[in-house]
Amino acid sequence: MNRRHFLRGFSATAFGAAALTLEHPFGFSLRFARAGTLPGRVLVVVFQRGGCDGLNTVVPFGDGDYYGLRPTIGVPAPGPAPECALNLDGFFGLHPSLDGLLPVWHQGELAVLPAVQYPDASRSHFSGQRLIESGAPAQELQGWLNAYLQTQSVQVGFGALGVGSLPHALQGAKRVSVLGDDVSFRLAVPAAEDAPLRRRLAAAYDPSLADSRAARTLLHEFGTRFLEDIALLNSIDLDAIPARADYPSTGFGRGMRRLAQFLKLGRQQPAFAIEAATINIGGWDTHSGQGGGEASGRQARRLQDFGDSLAAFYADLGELRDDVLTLTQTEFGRTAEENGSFGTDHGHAAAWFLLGARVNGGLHVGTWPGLASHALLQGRYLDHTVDYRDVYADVLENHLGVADASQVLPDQDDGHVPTPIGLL
Amino acid sequence: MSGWLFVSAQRVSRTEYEYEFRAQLTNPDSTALAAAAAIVTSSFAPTVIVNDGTVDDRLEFGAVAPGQTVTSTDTFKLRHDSRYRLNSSFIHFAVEGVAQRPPGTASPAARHVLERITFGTTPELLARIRDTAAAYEYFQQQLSPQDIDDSALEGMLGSADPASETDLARWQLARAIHSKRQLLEVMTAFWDNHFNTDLASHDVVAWELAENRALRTHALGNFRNLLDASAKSPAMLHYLDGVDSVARDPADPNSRGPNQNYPRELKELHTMGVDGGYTQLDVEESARAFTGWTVRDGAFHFDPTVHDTGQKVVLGVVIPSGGGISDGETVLDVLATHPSTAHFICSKLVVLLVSDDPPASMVQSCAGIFAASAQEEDQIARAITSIVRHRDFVDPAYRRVKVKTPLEHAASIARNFGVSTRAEDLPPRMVVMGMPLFRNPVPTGYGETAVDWVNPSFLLERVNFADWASFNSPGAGRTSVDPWVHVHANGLRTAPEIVDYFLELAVGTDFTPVEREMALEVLGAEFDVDSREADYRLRTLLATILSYPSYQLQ
Repeated sequence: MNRRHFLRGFSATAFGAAALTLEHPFGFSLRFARAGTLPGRVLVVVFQRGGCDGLNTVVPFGDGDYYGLRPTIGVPAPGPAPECALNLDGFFGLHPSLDGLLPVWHQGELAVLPAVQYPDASRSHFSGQRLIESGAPAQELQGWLNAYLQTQSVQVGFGALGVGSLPHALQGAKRVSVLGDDVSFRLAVPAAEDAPLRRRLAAAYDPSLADSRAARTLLHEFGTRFLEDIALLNSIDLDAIPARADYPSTGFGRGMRRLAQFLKLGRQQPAFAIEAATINIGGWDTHSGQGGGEASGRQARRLQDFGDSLAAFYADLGELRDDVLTLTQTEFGRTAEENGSFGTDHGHAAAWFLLGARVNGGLHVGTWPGLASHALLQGRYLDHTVDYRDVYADVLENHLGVADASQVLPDQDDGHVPTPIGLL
Repeated sequence: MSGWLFVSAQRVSRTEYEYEFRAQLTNPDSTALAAAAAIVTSSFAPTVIVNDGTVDDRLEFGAVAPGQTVTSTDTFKLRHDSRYRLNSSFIHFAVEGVAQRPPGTASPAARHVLERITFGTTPELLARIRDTAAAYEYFQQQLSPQDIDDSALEGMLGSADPASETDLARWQLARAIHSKRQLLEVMTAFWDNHFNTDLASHDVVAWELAENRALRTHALGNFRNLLDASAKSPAMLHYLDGVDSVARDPADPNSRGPNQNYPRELKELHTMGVDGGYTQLDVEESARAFTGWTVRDGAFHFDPTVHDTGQKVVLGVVIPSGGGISDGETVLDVLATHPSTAHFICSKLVVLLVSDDPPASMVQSCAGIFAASAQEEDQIARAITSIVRHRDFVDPAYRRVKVKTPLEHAASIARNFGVSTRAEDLPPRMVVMGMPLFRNPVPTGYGETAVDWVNPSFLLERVNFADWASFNSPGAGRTSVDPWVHVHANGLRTAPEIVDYFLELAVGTDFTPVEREMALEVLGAEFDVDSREADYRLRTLLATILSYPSYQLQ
């Protein structure tokens, strides 16, 4: 029996759970819920690390206070010039560099959430990312996607995938794979040594040889996983799977292309099927020189990469759009008012997106609080209208098929009950 | 495991019985085991291994000579549901034996001290520093780097400053590998990461070099001086937008104003920590204090014409109006002596030197020393001493529990096997392993804990690095381990002699029997050190050992 499948079947029993809970060095507890996976459903999470300015991403050009707060970096209201916002509903518009997403919007498969955050939000990059990836108001040792994976009694072939890194969302008792966005997952050793080395390392990394040291346990678990991944991935050629769209030749674009290949492969060969994936795009911490609607601006260039890569990914997915939901998030939005360096500082509510054929496309605003100084949180920040945990609840219950999102997101110390809000 | 000896049985509930056994272990190997232990597990739910404080799942056997059978000194207990058949094939023993240490090398405790205060042991250090007393004597010398002759390194580096990014990374790596002032290099790397700047934000190699040198000057010195070096570094002033921070002009609503980027990270990442007790207002007020701190002609410059001269209040300290450069200096003074700073810096130091899960007692004693010696020139040396000299520092629970960062991994390979590299070929390898030096865009710097580095992708790159270093063609300045030299110099001939020698250099006694067995298999029982393929087999052996889980630890 393939060891991974054995271990997975094993950990799904109550006994296996007890054993893992006992021996796990970080004290992760396994959470059990009724298995709810809808076959083939996949969640892709794109994290914009650095705090993307939401007010210039989903531009409230209809808000009378917007241009007063942003005299130099405001994105002009929709019009013929290329730096003007792309009209969504007469009040909100997309930044013009997100033009690639407009077709998805018109298909009704893009949900736009202009003001997402949580109460008393952190304004630290690190803490903010950790909180949002924990899915709770206090930093958890494990991420919300890992907690989700643990609720699944039937495991999908490859499980979950971090593209480029293992973000906090995927950290926890369930060991998941990480693939570089560009590299092939192979050992760079002479062909004659490849199989013997992998066999010897598989013996050396056997999880049963780990001891009470947390780091050693981690090494054995991930070492075993990486050797299994190599064995699996050496048997296929991802690049033989054609792309049906042109991706930007950026790190993010290559990563999204790689991910689409992997998703298509998983449809052909169940051993490679995944149920969740994460990918990052950085460069959003625009304290200075952020720019407005013009294509040369610092944020505009990042948005172009972001939007074009997402659009290519979406087109490339083809019929997989029914089953693959893409969620974009960022740790915080930025100050409503531009600062003296033609940039913005760490703020509060941010713009999130969902893409997928089952998405209820359109704006999901809630009650727009407005940008008048009395409406701004602490006089400085756009307040949130959507709690991100409700977005998670929608994704978990209405896309991934979890019966009750609170089983994945249990520790809401502030009393918030994650509840779907009609995104799907 | 060669047998079980029944000790007792007891009924504990309607259906459950507890059976107590001792186990017998036979050593089938030709190597004597200094100590052996086994962990008992059950893969059958109705049979549970009792672990309740009086008995546990670990069995001790003590020393086991080759061919000898030994009974465990303690017992294990099964709690079994009698509705099912008790089947011994569901009970598993993970046996670990420690081979007797070859004479004449460092004790595990001495090795532990060396591994934590250097970028890795060297054959020379292991031979010279045998016990804890000698290791602490070495530590004491390391605290006075100015008294350690480092001319060999300086000769290797030459007098010309590094001019390119690759050259700068090479310069830093060569220092980590070859400097005799190891603790100074460990701490310089720590501070450069703590006060992270990204070369890509300004593209001036000289600024990163100057910053690294300034941090090295004070790496074991006074924290306020470290803060000063970082705050006035052109690299930092560009990286966190200090150069854009100017007083708001009340007459011009579109005027630029104070930038909060540096003042926020200064508190969150450099001094107090995110939960250190500062407010958004403290960030804004200190942003005003730093207006006018900028770069001119490639160096720090204070421009009074754009400085906000109004009164500021930072962390309750009133900075009166009319100040100049002293406003920012006052903010640094307040932060350097804030209790949260002592705690935050000491937490990071204990994570660096002891454990990913820093023991509170060490953090507390360190924070006390840090705060009490705020005016001392050797404040950091004292703080480090309080950790390294802490009574628990050499406790076995903290030995070899830290996963090496890629920098530590690369440097330790070169040091462990006495590689004379100038590190010219290492910078691109650091990029592949996920730790490009001087080029980290995230202000938090690189992580220092196992969860930051252990994942399938990074392990793959570490294995690839081990293979590369073992088979790299030798040449001037290149990083190529030469096992042949070691084998000949030590007159090693048989496979067990060679394997035990390299394991000792690499991990001391911290390896599993399986790791040793696989290493022996690489050479083969009929290994002939004089054969034509001996060099290839030896390099394969090294590539294997350097890829082991044991080798990722320090």
